[in-house]
Amino acid sequence: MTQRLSVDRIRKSFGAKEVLRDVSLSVNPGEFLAILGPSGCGKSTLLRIVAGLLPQDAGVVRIGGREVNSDPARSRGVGFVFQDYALFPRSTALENVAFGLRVRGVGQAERGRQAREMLDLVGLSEEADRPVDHLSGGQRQRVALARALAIRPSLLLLDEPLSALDIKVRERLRKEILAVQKRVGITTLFVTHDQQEAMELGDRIAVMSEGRIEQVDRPRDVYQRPATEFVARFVGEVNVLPGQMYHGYAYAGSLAIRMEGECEMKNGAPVKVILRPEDITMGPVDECGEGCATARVRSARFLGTHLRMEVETEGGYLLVALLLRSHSMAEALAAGDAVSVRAIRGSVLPDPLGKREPEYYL
Amino acid sequence: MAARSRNLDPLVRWSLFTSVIGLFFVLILLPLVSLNQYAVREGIGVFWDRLKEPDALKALWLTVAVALATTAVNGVIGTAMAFILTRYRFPGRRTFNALVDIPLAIPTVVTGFALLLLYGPFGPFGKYLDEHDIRIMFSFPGLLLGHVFVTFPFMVRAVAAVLETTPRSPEDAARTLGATERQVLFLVTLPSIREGLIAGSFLTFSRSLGEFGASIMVSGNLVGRTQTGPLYIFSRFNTGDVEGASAIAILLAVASFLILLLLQFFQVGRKGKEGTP
Repeated sequence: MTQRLSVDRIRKSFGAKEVLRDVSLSVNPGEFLAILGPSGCGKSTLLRIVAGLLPQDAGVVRIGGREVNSDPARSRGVGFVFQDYALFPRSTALENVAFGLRVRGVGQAERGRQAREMLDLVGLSEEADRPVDHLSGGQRQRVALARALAIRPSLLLLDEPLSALDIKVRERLRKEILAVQKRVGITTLFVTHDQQEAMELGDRIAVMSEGRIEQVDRPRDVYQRPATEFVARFVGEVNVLPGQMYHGYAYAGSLAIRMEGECEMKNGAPVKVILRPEDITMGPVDECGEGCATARVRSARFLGTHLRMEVETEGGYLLVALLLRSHSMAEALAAGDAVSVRAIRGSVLPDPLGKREPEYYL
Repeated sequence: MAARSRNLDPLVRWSLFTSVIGLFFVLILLPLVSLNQYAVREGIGVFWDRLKEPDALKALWLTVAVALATTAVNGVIGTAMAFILTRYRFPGRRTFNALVDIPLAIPTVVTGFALLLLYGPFGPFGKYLDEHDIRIMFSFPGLLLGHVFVTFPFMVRAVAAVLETTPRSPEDAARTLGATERQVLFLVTLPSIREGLIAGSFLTFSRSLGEFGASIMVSGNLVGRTQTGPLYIFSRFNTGDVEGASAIAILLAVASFLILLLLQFFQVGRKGKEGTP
């Protein structure tokens, strides 16, 4: 039942505006792929094209290896969950869930039975006969999920399904969606602009920007080894510093950064160093040794689990660092203090505009 | 509002209140009462006799038939127009949108006159139709044409207002669930604009019941054939039969009032049932 999805060089414009530029993507059977990007990056458009709700200008959509370009939405066998629930008003939860079976000509008794089964799956068996207008936002979206799954689709598409809900409901529903998806084992595409959501849900994350896919990877890799500066900046907070490679380390001034995983940059190559705030640690200023930089604290804010600090190194780099509350210095640090700064690890991107360091430095 | 009126000088408030009530009596209630007076002046038996006159009954029946047909025709083309205006973006849409209200601005008698010139025996269309033995003016189709024209904006506006606030995602949801375009229309779209259709129908129907200006031009006012209720009232009054005119008049007034009441009742009932999310 569950199928591979592949889209190949999809292009779409609305008038003069290019919304999708040669988007290619492959989702494995049973995989949960989160599509993450800022609003207007084309992620919802891509989803609608996959569902057949919008025609693409060029490119191919394949479901289970079969090209579905000329199939209308109704014959693609794709379950779609909308941001605004898109439930049929003045109908009960059961009627909503049974709709897909009804238009397929399934008899009333049988479709009632199957619809109840689906409502069970999302934990709404009690609300089956209530009008959807009387349900809460979270309940409505669960009805929508049950409705999409009731037609036994080969693909489940969710278009920002949680963004209309308040935070508590959102967090609970996230876990429920994941549990249901794993139980049904259905190939799933989940569009969101919330990186936390993408991290928690996605087996892999596809990060989109301006109609292009910037990176498709496991959440850990997207975070720790972003493929582009956009990905680095969009997913989490980041310091991007100009630097050079030297024997497998990146140097930003005197600060040495150990590479996360493989790195094929040549010695002296100019790079952008991607340094996460929590990968920076601090010590007393007199303990600054090899690969370490002295710095002055510009600001320190207490945020509960950690201290958010802005420090300026003697080389003139401005860094944002997160210091765990349990760190030995966390209590004492204040603006104006001198500290030593060390980078635990980081990653680099090629910097074609960067200066090559003069030979004597190497 | 209540808080502000409490701040008004009691004298000002009192005089405002009485003048509004007074105007309501003079402008609205008094004419209706006098209508009633005339209708039953000779006793309720005479009132019934006047109503049961064959010409009166024919006029009433024609009035209802035209109103029903008008509502049906506008139910289709008015709804279609509402869809075009709200769902599509095309050059000239704003102009088009403004044109829809033209029937509200043109005096109905002018509308009737224009139709007469076009479809009448000397009009360019009329001549052609005459040659093919099709008669529009001075017959039911002419009345229908006039009424459809005059009431057109009511259905369009009522349906468009609902369409504008109705999200389209349920239609897309239905498509992904396997519905054909026909099923989407009948199971999702039309049920979702039901309020607009019903409100538009009531407005169209009651407006058609009382239509006079266009009717008198296009119908020829042929007694027992193309004479609608309002035309009957006018004719009877002109020939001095005040009781006959009043009998039909009071019936039309009561019918319009009931339609209004029904519409109110329907809208209130609708709101009461709607849950707050």
